[in-house]
Amino acid sequence: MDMAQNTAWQDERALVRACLKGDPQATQRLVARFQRDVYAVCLRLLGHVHDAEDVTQEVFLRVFRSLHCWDKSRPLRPWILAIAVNRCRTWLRQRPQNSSLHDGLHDPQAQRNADDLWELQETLQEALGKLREEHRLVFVLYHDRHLPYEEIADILGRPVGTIKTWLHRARSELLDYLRQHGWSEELRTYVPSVPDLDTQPSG
Amino acid sequence: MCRVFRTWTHNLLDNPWAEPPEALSQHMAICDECRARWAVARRLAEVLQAWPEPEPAASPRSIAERVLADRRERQQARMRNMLAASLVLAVLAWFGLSALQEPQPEVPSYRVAIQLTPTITSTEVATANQPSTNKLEHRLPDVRIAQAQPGEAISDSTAYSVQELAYWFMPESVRRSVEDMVEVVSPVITSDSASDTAVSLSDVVPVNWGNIEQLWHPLRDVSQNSLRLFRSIVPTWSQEPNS
Repeated sequence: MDMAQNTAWQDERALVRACLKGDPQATQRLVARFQRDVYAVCLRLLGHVHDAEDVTQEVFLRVFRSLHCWDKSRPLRPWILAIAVNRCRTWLRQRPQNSSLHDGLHDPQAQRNADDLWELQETLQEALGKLREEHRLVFVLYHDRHLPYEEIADILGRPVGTIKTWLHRARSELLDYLRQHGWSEELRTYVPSVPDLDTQPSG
Repeated sequence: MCRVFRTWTHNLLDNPWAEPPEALSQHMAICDECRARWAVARRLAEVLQAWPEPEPAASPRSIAERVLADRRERQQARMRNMLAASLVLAVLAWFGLSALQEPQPEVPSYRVAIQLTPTITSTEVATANQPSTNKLEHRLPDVRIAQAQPGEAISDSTAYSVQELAYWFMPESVRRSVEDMVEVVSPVITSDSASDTAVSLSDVVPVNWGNIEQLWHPLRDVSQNSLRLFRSIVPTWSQEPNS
């Protein structure tokens, strides 16, 4: 453990101690520190803005209710994200089956910024909805939250090897889905940095 | 899927800005599938890089306020539960202590009174049915014991004769003798009580009063001895004034 990480953990422990004493400032700081992560995971997994907002609040309520159970020897973020993942799973189980994963993504701000990239991201979100829950979780945590394999394994309570396997399958299924939806044909239009493959010298 | 590209798909997604190695480029020149997948993977990497950071609508402050409100509610609920539990415990403790302190059912403290009634003389019985030679001169004290309040008269229905009580102080062998005698006498008494007509005992059963007297003497002696024993056991009773 390096010095910076050790300092961060000590800071987390102090923050949690203050929260447990009911300090409003500490409570607000802890929420601010992890709100984006929690909300992003909820939004990617639930695919619905309002659901993500509701579940985020619920996650923090649960976090603070069980903050005294947190293992001080482990970092706080995986513990909080594990709670978020579990709440999302419960929410998905309780949600009606006919509710599409990306039904609620059309928030006004997003609509105003709609462009080709937005359409691609929408297709990506739609493709994520087709994945198995575990695969989607791993993909979001790795590619959206940029968490290392070890932390994802900690959150999901699975070995690192399993996480890598799930991520591999998630990517493969996503690529197949996106290819079927014409991403390869639109390559030159939206991604100018991709070299012209047809002009690659043949070996 | 072409297996050549499988590994490179994931390498590309792990490091989207890395250029494909020469070997892969040469392979993609002749493999349409790998070229298409590489294009999709590259594009996915681009999109992921541009994936917008979701912006939560709720402010940290609003969530923190809700958290603190929830904490207050839970503390109040916990206090209410503790208060309710304390009340229940207090009520249970009160009931328990009340049960312990509750006076037991009042036992009437009857005093035992002993009344010496006029004794039954066997002579009277004997003179009615037997010649004077068979008179039984022995007078048996008829002591009656009853539970009675001070000053309360003892009725015959509630009193027990000392002989009845003393009977159970007799040795078992003597009691057997008494029971044997009762077996001899009881047919006579039964016949007498069952009949309304004035039938003398001698008419029913020819009683050999000499034998009865032989039986009666030891019984009398034993009764008196038992009575003495009884009085020695309960001396205070015998000293109670007649009510």
